[in-house]
Parts: sequence; C-alpha cells; structure tokens
Amino acid sequence: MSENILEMKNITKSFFGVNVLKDTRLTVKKGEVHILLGENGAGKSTLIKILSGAYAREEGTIIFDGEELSPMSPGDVIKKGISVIYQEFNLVPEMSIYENIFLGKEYSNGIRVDHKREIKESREYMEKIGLNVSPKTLISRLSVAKKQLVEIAKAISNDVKLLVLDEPTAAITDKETEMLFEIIRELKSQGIGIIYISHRMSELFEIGDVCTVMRDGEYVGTVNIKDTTEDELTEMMVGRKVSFDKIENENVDWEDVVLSVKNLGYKDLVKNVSFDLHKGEILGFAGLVGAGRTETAKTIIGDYKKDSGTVFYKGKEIGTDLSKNIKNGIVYLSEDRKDEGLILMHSVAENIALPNLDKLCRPFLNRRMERKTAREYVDSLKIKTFSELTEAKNLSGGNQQKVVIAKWLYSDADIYIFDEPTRGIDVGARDEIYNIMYELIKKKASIIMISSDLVEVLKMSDRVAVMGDGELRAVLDNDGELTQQDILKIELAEEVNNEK
Amino acid sequence: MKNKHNINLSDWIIYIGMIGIFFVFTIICSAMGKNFLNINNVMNIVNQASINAILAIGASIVILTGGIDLSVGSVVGFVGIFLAMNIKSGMPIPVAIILCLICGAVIGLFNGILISYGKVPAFITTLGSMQAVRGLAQIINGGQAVSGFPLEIGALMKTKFFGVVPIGVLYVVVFYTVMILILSYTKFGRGIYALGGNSHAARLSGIKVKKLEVIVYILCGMFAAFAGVMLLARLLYADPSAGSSYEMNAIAAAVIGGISMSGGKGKLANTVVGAIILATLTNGLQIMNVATYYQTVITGLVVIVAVFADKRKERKAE
Amino acid sequence: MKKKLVSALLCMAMVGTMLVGCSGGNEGGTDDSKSEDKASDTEVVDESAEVSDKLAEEIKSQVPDKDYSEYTIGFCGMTLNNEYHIIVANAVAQSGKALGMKVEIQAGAEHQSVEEQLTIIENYVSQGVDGIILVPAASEGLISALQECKDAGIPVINLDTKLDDNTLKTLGEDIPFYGTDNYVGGQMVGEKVAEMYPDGCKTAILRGVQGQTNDDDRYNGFLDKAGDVVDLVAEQHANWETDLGYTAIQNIIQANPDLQVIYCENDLMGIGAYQAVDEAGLTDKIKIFSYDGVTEGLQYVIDEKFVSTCAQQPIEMGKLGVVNMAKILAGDKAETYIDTGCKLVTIDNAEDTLAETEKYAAEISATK
Repeated sequence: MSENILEMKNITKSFFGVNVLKDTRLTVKKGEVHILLGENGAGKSTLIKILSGAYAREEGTIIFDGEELSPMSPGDVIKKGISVIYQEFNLVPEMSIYENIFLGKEYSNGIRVDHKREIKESREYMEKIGLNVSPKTLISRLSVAKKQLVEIAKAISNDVKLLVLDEPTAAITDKETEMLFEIIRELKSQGIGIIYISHRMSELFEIGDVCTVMRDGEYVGTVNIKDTTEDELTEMMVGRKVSFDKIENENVDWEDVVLSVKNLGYKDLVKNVSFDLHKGEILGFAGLVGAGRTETAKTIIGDYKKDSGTVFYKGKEIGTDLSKNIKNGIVYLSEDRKDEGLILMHSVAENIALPNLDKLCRPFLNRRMERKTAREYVDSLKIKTFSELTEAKNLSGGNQQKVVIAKWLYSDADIYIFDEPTRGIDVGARDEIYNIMYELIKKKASIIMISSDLVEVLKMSDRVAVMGDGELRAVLDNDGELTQQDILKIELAEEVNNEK
Repeated sequence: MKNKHNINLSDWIIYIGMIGIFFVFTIICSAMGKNFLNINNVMNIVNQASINAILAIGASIVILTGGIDLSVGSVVGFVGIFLAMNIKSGMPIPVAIILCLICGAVIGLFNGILISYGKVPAFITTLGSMQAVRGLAQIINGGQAVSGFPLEIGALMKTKFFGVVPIGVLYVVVFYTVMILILSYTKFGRGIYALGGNSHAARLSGIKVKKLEVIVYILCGMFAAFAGVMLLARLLYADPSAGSSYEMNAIAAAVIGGISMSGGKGKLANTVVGAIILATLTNGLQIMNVATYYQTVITGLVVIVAVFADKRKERKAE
Repeated sequence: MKKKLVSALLCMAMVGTMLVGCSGGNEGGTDDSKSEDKASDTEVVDESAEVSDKLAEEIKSQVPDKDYSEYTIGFCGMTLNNEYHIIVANAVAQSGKALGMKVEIQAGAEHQSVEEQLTIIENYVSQGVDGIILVPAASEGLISALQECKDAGIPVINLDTKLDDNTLKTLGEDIPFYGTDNYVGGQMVGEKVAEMYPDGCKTAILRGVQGQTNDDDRYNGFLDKAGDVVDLVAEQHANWETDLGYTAIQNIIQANPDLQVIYCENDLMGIGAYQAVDEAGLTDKIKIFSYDGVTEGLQYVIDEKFVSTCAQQPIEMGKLGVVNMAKILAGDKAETYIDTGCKLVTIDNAEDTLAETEKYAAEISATK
C-alpha cells in the first residue's frame, strides 16, 4: 500500500445557487494513474479547477503530500507540485519551447536572461519524454501532440508530484497516443501521481490503475481498473447500458447519388479528391489529424474556394457560395464548436435559430416560435441547460454539441457533414448523437462523418473513405469484416516519411 | 431564473443611473434656486441629445458587429457644408437632403468595402476616412463657413409639437423604434449580433457576413449624414470643422448604454439612454454653472463608472 | 473568448498610440493628414492670384527699396478653418507676393493645437526660411520652437494673439507684435453694455478656449468696464465653436430665464447663441454682444440679431507683418508694437464696415 499524494474530501461548489459539486472526494496514490470518469457536466472539470486553484471551494479539505492546502492562487499550486494540462494549452504560441518552459521562472544573471542554461536544461527535460526537436522551436510550429509534450516537460521542470491530464488524447493520433502512454508509464514509475480524464474506454483499460466515477456533481464510486469492465463503468457513469454494435442501415438507396465530388482541389490541402455520396448513406471519413478531411468538407460547402474540380449536388453543379449551398441543404457541423459552431455569448435559442432565420422571419422574426422550437429541441435532444435562454457558453461540451446539431436538424438539410461529432463528449451523449444521425438517414438525409475515432467510424459508416496527406486513398465497404487495422494501415501508409 | 435575474439587473443599472443623475441634479439645482426638473428642460435635454443619439445608432450597430466607425464626426461636418452650399445654390431642400444621405451612404460603402472585402481593420480604415472626409469638408468651400442660405431648413429642427416637444425628439423616437425592431425582429438584425458574436460561426450558419458588414457601415454613414442635416438645421450655419470629436460622443453613448466593444452584445434601446445621460450631464452642470473643464472630468468619470457597472456582471460570472 | 480579449487589448493599445501619434506632433505625419493640409492650403490661399497694383504699390512704398525675390517667409497660422484667420493668412500671402517673396502658409487643424504649430515652426526652421510670421494658437507653449528660431537666427513676427510676457522673458528677446489689444476691445463692449443698461442686467459670457490670452483679455476688458453694472450669472467656455455655444446658451437660459445680456467672445459662438435665444423665443428680452467682426457677424448686426460686434483689422495685421519682416530682412528695425485697433460695430456703422471688409477682401484677392 503506497502512500497518498492527494486527498480531496467533502468538496462542495455551487454556481448561481446551483450545486455543481456535492460532497465529492478523490484520493490519488503516488505512482498511480487515476482515471476520473464522468459524463460532461458531471463535475470533473470543476473538481480539477478547484484543485488547481482556478476556483475557490466552498467547503472541503485538500491534503496534498501530507500537507493540508489552504485555498491559494494557481501559481502557488504549481509551486507545490501540482500541474494541470488542459485541452486548451497554456503556452505562448509565439515563444520558443524553452522560453515557455521557463516562463515566470527565468534564470537571470542579474540583468539578462541566461538563455544558454535554459536551453540546456530544457533539452534535458525534453529528452526525458522523448521530445526530439530544438528547444528554440516556436510553439506555434508544433503539432498538438508536441505541444502536449511541451506542457509535460514544463510540468517536470516544476518538479511535479501530481500531474492532471484533461482529455490528452482528444486531438492526437493513435500513434501519438502510444507515445504519450509510454511517457505516462515512465512518470508513474518515478512515483508521480497522475489524474487522467478521458472518455475513451479503450485507453482507460490500457493506461489506468484506478478509476473514480462521478455523476451530476456527486461521487459515484472508485474501482480498480483490473477488477472492472467497460459495461460496469459505463453503467456507473450513465446508469444504463450502452450498445457498441454496428448499426444496420437499411435506408441507403445505392442508385441515388446525391453528392458527387470530382477531382476537387484546394491549395495543397485537398488533392484531386473524388467520391459519391448516396441517399441515406453514412460515409465515414477516416484519417490522421491533418489528412485534409476538414479541408475537403469546407471546400465542398464553399467555405474554402476550390482551386479545381466540380461538385454535383442532386445532379446539378454547385458553386462556392457558402450561404447558397447551405440554403440548398448542404450543411457542415464544425469540429470546432467554440470557434465555428456556436456564438457562445448568445442564447441556446438564438443559436438554434441562426441558420433558420428565413424560416422564422415572415417577414418579422417570430420570437415565440423561436423559443418554442428551441424548447422542443432542448427536450428532444435532452440538452442539459437551465433554459433555452441560457447563454451557450454556460453549457458543457456535449450539450454545446447538441445545440450545434439542433441548429442543423431544424434546417432540415439533405446532406449533413459531421466533423468529429463526438469529440470531447461522454459515452451517454455519444449514443444520443448516434441516434440522431440514425434518425436523419431514416428521413433519407445523407451524412458524411469525419471522425478520428475508428470505433465510431466502424460503428456508424456504410462506407469508409480514408484520407492521407490531402488525398483520398481509399473508399472501403464496411461489410462487417472491415477492421480498425485495415483502416489504420491505409492511414499510415507513407505517413512514416512525414514523421521526423 | 438566476440567469434571467442577472440580465434584468444589468438592464436596470443604466436606468437607475439616469434617474440617479436626475435626482442629484434636481436636488442641487433646487438648492441653488434653479429650475432643472421641468418639462421644458427635459425636452431641452432630449433635444440636445438628439444629434448624438442619432449618431449613436450608427455607432451601436457598427460596434455590435465588432467594428468601429471614427469617420462619423467628419461626415457631419462635410454634410453640413455640402447641404448649405446646395440649398444656397437653389436646390430644393428635399433633393439636397437626399443627396446628403447618398453622400453618407457612399462614405459608408467605402469604409465597409475596405473593412469587409479589403480586410483592413475598421479602426484604421475609419481613422483614414475621418481625416479624408474632414479634408473634403474643408476643400468644397475653401475652408470657409457657409451662411446666407435659405433658412427654411431650420424647420427640420426648430419645429415643436404641442408647443413643447421638439422635432428632434421625433427623429430619435422614429429611428430608434425602427432600428430596435430591425435588430430584434429581422434576419438582418440577428445577423449583426451573430457577426459580432462570432463571425466564423455566423458565416458557417449561412449568414452573408461580408454583405451584411458593408450594409452596416452604409447605415452608419447615413445616420451620420442625417445628423449633419440636423446640426445644420439647428445652427443655420455650416462650419467645416463642425462635428469634430462627435464620433467619440457617439461611441461613449453606445458604451454607456452597455454595447460591448468586442461586439455581439448590447441593446440599442439603452444607447439612447446613454446619449441622454451625456446630454443631461452637460445640461445640469451648465445650469449649475460649473466650470467647463470640471464638466469634462465629470463626464469622463461617468463613462468609466457606467462601463464598470456594466462589466460587474461579467466579472461576477467568472 | 481569449482571442477577443487580446484583440480588444491590442485595439486599445492602438488607440493609445494613435492618439499620442496624432497629438504628439505631425513629424512626418500620417499621409492622410499631410495631403489634407496641403489640399486645404492651396484651396484657401490662392497663391497664384494676381496681386493688385494698388496693393503692390502700397506695400512697396513702406519698405526699403530692395529685391526681395530671394527671400522665403513662413506663415504659421492658428487655423485655416475660419474666415478671420483665412483673411490674416491671405493678407500675408498677398503682401509677400507684392514684394516678390515666396510665402509658405501652414496652420494647425484646430484652434488650440500648439503641438501642430510646434511642428510647423520646426519644419520652417529646418527648411531654412528667412523669417516666420506667427499667429500663436496659445500664448504659451511655443517656447521651444521660438528658441530654435532664435538659435537659427530666424526673425519672428507675432500677429493677432500676443505671446505672453513670461514666454518672451524666458526667451530673452522681444518679438514684434502687431495686433489688436483684445483688452481694449473687451472694454469697448463693456462700455456699450454699461451704457445700454445703466441699472444693471443679468449677463452670461461665452468664453473661448481656456488659457488663451485672447480669451482672458476679452473677458477682463469687458468686466473692467461693465463689471460694476452687470450681474454675471453664468460663464461657460464654448471653445470658440458654434454648436457648443448653442448648447451652453440653451442651458444657461434654462437656469436663468430672466437673462438679459449675452456677451460672446467671438462671432461663431454668437451665431450659436442667437439660434438658442431665437428658439426660446426670447430675442426681445435677450441681447447679444459679439466680437470679431467676420462677415457673418457683421451681417448679424445688420439684421439686428447682434447688438454689436467688435471688429478687428486682420488685413492690416497681415500687411504690417510682411512690411516689417521686409524691413528686418533689409537690415532695418521693425516696429516693436503696433495696435491695429478695433472698432465697435453697431447697426449704425455695420453696413459700412461690411462693405469695407469686402473691399479689403477684394483688394487682397478673393479667398475663394
């Protein structure tokens, strides 16, 4: 029995009089990877923010490394040896790696900063975690995975005793995930405690030792990973069983091509892409991050102005007028909810109404109708929000995604392009989103689903298009025999050359 | 419930502030034996606020899209000279006014196209056109003021209804009503908020953001032109330097009214209150015969306090 | 959210630098403002206009016989935005031309822009002009530029608004001044008011830009003669501007419905004041006394909208400036002080004065 590095007890916190954490606890041992699991809005982020000092707790005690922590500022918490790596990194993009690592604790010989020493030490930290680039590289040049490694290097430089990783694999490839796990195991062996927040079941079993499950701001239970199963965890999270089987789609009309893309090109991001989409079909788009899937989608709808190629929609060629294409029924649901999907400062109802104003304005906006419709979607999609007038920024990630979907469900389009529809969304909400997609194809809509989650691709798609380096490398039939390995093989081909 | 309550509170702050200022001024003025709170002076205040209030409509919608327009003061000056010269040369007044509005629209179009299609920051674009238009105002009559034109134009500002209500109030009521309705009940209005809130998301929701942005600047230019007409009708004297720094007053009114400088949030109805608060300060302080430079200090402080009070809500939420 | 904040901050920083850049002087200046200045100069002051023989004769007769075509003089005006200052500038330009000199005309964009004047003078010094004729935007604050002139040995003549004594003392040099004694002008208006209201009257004063000697002199001169009779109920600085004068008078009337006299320190504010009085329907009860004597002001006197205005002699000032500069350049001594005089214009002599001004203006060549 090794000793506890962290003990959080009776933590309570409320916003606007609503309890978001109720008497929650979390105990992490040294050298343990502790999974924190829960649906979006379960209170995981709030708990972590209380730990990091970003939020003040109302009640409860935190004992870290045998010492009771009084509420303190985030800077002091880091000095104690607790580092939190959020999904949105805390790095200055236009500064180099070493400058970021030593930000706020520069070595100074009185007047000027001792760059040489910083570079040398940075290199040591970076070597420990296998980050083999020059410490002088600017952060903005790095991939997401490498930025993450810089964050970890920074944490190590702070003499970290407890490292918190918030969905570290959400935006990185499988190969990069493997590397990250290697590092986590290494840190673990050094006795560093790790809190790991993720929704990906497969990873939890690969990397985790212990798992604490939260639901609705409350502590549900803590289990040893090796003594539990996916089903059990899922049940703890959502209180019901979730199916992982491939859906049977009987709605595809293979005779009816609704969208035909021919030799599409955009800069060097989309190269000569051609494919057909059928009525009622879900076409999965797999590929590594940066393979050109999002760019292809944006070029089709006209957000990016294509350099070459043609797009036929219901037999007619369409142009690059984004708003016209949307009106005609081709819609794109961005992977980037916060920047491209929602207007965070506006209400749920206003967001849902935005693409549908033509429908609501006759000629003047019917605000009662707007609210009523929003209310219906809030109910039918089970969007957890205080009311339809709540600002979108107050919703959790999964619920925000549902609002994005509601916008476009209401628009009643023919082709839906979902870009990473379930990224950062918990299992329960995922299933609901899958159901919505299924409802859509039942209504003879067609779906292009861009996803980096191969389980999801295999579960949902009728066919799988695999992209790499801007090219469409293959379109595979998902006949039940297609495996993750088959897809990965195509994804990774030639990719080796690009990875230094 | 909580959320709703908060929104209401911030709505109230500005009215409470306005009533507070009225209350304080009434007490001080009556202690000094001077008349502040009577129908005549209230009309006075609204009349004095009217030109700024009209300019502030333009400022508000531009700021709501996340932009800014610094050229409106110069447009006021330009339009004054242009209108005076035209009616002096015998052009019928309605035609001359329409020409002025077209001028305002063209300047707005110029700003809008540079900003939306040319991707030049609004601040830079309108800073440039502020100077260029001021230069034009001086060029068209050789830097000289214009006078001796038919005085019928004065009816546009000097008419009173029922003997008390100045016509300036009518313009404010009409334009605000129309614009408030447009902002809350049309696709165009929603587009303005969406553009300011998140232009990416607005674009991907099918809003024609560039076209919309251009129209907003055109409207702003036209409101500025109309304000220029109002100023000429009030003073019956066109000076090429007229309207200088009016853009700052208009922006101040919008900001006091709680329009967020980063765009996407705010109520136009509160902008008019902002304009009235500014006019009330000048009016009250001049009635009390406070030295001019103290007035400037007090007005500046009120702007800061207003924004502080408005932002309190956001800080609390964070 | 974060991006928004950053951009907002950036924007603010930019506003900051812009403002500093704008007010801190126009060295180099933005391209816009430069071209604008030039444009307005050439429009306002028609340098190519023919000089009338009469003027040429008049000017030549007053200066030592010499070829002046080698010389360049720089005129630094207060502004070119109003008639009065345009007339001064024109008078200088035309008189200089009469002697064959090159005359450069520059002025600040606004009434109180000392910074712009500093830049203008510095530019003149670096261009190596032979003399500078200056109408200062403020009585103080130009000391460093004047010091540069002194160091470079460039003679300076001061017109219209007198540099204050402290400045001259610091500089250790007497700068010739030709202009109206605004104090005397103020006294004239004060006498008129005292004469019309021997039993006293409720009075409001609209003042110019705070800190300018003009403003103080016109104010103090007025009170010197009228201070005993008037009951001064309000005074506001309306910065010489029409719209500010209008609003101020509206508010002053609200506070003092029994107001009888308004003294405006310039005609532009007077015009605004009259509109406010007219709108309040009080033209019978409230009388306006103005100052400056620009054509519009004179017209207001003729129309009995003003009781009087105090006319100055801008053309005379311009001529004297050039004549004496020529004297200095020819090695003679310049007059150190000339009072160009001013006269109170009332309904009795307004038409004559207007005709005279127009005649002068015609002689000096049309400004348009």
